[in-house]
Amino acid sequence: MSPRPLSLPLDDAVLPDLRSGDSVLLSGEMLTARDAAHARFAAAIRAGEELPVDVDGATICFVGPTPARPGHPIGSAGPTTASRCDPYSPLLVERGLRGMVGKGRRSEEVKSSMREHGCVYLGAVEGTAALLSQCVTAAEVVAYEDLGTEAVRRIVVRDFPVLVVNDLHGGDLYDEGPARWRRSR
Amino acid sequence: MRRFVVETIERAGPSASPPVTIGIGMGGTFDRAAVLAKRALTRHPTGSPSPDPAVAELERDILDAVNATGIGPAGFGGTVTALSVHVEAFPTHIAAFPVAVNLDCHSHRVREVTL
Repeated sequence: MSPRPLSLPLDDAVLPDLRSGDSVLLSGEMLTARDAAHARFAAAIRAGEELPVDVDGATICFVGPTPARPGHPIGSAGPTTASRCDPYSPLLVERGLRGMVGKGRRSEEVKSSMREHGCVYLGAVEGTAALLSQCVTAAEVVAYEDLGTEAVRRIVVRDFPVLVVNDLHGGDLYDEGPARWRRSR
Repeated sequence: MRRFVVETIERAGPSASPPVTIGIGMGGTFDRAAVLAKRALTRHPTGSPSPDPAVAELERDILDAVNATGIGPAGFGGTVTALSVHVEAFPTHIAAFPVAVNLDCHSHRVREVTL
């Protein structure tokens, strides 16, 4: 099955169509944030402050890119383990986050929050950072510049390849994929 | 021990970025097992069997058990969850048997230099 092109920000109307295991090509704007930026988001929310970026409708990619070479928008940019952000993600999902891109399992709290508020978790293939960075056409730091690689960036991607891991219907590719291939010995 | 390794791989799941390379140290006291696991992980060339036939058989068996989990590349499901299993063994007290497991993701790069 050829991958389905999807534009960012994700359209609320297409989210229910996505099923775990679907192959998708993302094009448009994403935010980048890892655990350090998420901890600051959470602190700001607890303090009742406005977030420095609008997460309503947004998709966040869990990545800390390496410095860009001259003439390139971004350095190597591969997904990090999403569970680092698990303690914070529900706070953002409740505020309208529609997509997350990373790798590795999410907690039950994150998954139930995603189902409740309408957010999908998309898996990018780790270890392919140099290749993935070729799908990034622009990048700028938009918050927490002092965090360096962990600063929040707005990036523009074209045909960024991901698989749907957690959909709105309880599907989880990390359960279904291995179950399909498991063998007894 | 095989069950322990398989449980470790299942717990790590997609977060370990499979297909993984697995280094296992068994025997000695735990400090030695940990060092042996690192030495096993960095065995050069990757995928070469232990010179000890019994250990090499154990490596083959563990590799098959790990690949039977179906975790597969990136944890999306598939037949290859580990690329190779390297075991380094050392004598130990019969009541102890420490085992250390050291994983590397699919981007397993090993270089050898002589100092």
